[in-house]
Amino acid sequence: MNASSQPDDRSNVTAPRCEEAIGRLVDGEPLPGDVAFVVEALRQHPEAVAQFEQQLSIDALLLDQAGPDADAFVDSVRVAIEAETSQPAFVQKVRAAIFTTAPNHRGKPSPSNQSATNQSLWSGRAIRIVLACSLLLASLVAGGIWNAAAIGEPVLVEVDRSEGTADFAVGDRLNLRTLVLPEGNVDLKLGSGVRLECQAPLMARFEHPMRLHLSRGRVDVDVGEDGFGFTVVTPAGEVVDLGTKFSVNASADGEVRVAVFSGQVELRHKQSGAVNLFDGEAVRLTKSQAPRRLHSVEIRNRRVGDSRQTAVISGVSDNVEAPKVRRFYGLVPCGMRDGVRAFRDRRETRWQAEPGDAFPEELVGADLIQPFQQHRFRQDFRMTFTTSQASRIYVFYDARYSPPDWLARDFVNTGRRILSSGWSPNTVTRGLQPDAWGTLAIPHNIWCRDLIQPATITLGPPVLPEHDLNTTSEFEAVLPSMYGIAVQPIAPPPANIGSKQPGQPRAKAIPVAAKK
Amino acid sequence: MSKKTPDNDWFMQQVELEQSGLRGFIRMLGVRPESVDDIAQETFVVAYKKLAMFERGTNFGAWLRTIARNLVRNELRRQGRRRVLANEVAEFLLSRADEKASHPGVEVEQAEQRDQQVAALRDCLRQLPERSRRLVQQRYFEQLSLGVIAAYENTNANNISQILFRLRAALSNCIQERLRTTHS
Repeated sequence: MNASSQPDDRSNVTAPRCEEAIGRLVDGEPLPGDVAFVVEALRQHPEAVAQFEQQLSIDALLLDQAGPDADAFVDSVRVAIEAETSQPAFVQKVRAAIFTTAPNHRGKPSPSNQSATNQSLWSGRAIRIVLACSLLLASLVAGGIWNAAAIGEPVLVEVDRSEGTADFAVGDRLNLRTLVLPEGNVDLKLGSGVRLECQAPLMARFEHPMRLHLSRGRVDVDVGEDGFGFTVVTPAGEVVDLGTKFSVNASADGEVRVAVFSGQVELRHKQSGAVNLFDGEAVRLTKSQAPRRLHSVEIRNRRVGDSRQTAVISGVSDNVEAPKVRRFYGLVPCGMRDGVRAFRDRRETRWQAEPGDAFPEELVGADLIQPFQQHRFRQDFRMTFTTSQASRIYVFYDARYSPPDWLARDFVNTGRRILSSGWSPNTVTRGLQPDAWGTLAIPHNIWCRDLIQPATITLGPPVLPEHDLNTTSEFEAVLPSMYGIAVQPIAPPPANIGSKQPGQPRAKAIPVAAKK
Repeated sequence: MSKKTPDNDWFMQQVELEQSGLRGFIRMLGVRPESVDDIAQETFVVAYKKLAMFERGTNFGAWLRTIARNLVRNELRRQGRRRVLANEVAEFLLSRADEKASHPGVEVEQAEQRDQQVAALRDCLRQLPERSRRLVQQRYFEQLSLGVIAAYENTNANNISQILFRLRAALSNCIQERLRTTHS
């Protein structure tokens, strides 16, 4: 059977454009215009209907083969019925209590003090904003992105969150042409539903409500339901939303970093043309240099009260080399806590305490690296990162499997566990039973290793030697989950400890209640 | 469902029997792959709650499919992010499903063929060329996006989508051929 040739004579009847559109739709990644085209074809051509149903039918069979085994699904139905029919309100409350993060104190001013807030805004901040606008204008001219023909129209924004700045207060409604943020973070909501999370130092201006020129700073964009097509223009190129949440960070030296958190964007670069970036991909580019992979992206940690704001980890990278691989590691400073996202390519999967246990205290507030599940298949995988001070490195390894050699050799099993929870039935969860909420959780042993000075560390592949794999067929290989990583800074030991040579990283782990 | 009753036992047996076919049916209504299991689960929960309305001796699978169609119809009325590929497409597929449901024989025959189709699919997968098998593995078993697969295969997402299209068509032909051989 040759799958790369035209399958049958039906393709002669239906235009290739239709096949392409149907294919993208079935794959869940239609381009603008595909849906309308396919609907029209379905209405007019019975061949298109047959072709579409054929595609969906095989897709459904393949999904069924790759999906949960019957037992896991039946169990999940049993649990769902149990939850629905016993005490639904109670179950909902408990669930909310478990999965809700810290309380949100971002309130809008009450109607009674709204006008007072706005008044004080204009009397108190007008001077600073005008001054800042002058600086912005100078900067934009110098940066070469100021276009006199596109001075822009004022855009109505509502301040949804403000932190570390006196220039914006929650609930303010402002008509902004320019946006200057010398310090702090501000979240702005546009009338279109687009949400901008701005991080100082930032300078930008609106051309119109769907187009923002970013001169410097980081803005995370969530376009919501109606913001399709929202564009961020930078000195190095344009980032056009195709239904997504993404981040653009323009540095003073002209380098621009673009990361996509969900959906996709189109990146337009004058030198290299248009490139589509997908969920979990990030690139760096300059005006003259084509986009190249950005290995890690700092994910904003909104947890209030963290004493340490800069990451201990830097330079996260791996040996996955392919010209178009653009996956980025999430780096969350101080982000380790109960309920935090575990993997970049699994949105619903969270780190969580074992049932009946508190989340391990020693992990709370550690820097978190969010890796990819897809790397669990690579036997040659290597991940490298650098720590800026003495640190304890934690690796969370799938407790259902024996550790790989590099982990057993260099790390110590603390004897404690956490769970990666929220899994849908999948090949990695085969054999697990759903929890009380109908989802699946994988237990991970917590391994650790101490580094007494700044060092660069390399971690190995999560997969086991081939003889340990429980492989029944090439489509049913059961492999461990990808491991997780967190790094907690530790107080440096006395200067005269040991006899290590300066510059040589400590190779052995300090035992921590050692137990395998 | 805390009490173990004959009704519960019978119901869970039906869940076991019907789950695979129901999930396929829901996907055929244009539901996004990641939401198929959710809607299938909701269908069974609704069926359980309304079990008294089900007439024993009639086709339970057909009754489940009616519930699933209604759930997907509700989905189209929802605001916010929906669980279907696209409203207009799902509406079209729903109307097709409604039409088929008015000819119960066709729908039942399709449901009964499912086990044979699954067996044939397994055979056909084994016959795929190496690259095609790798794409099936990446797309369906590792759940990678087209963009990520394209990056590994050093091509673009559109090209991967077209290859997957042809691959599914080839698998469909192979399955049909096997079913014909079996029946003859």
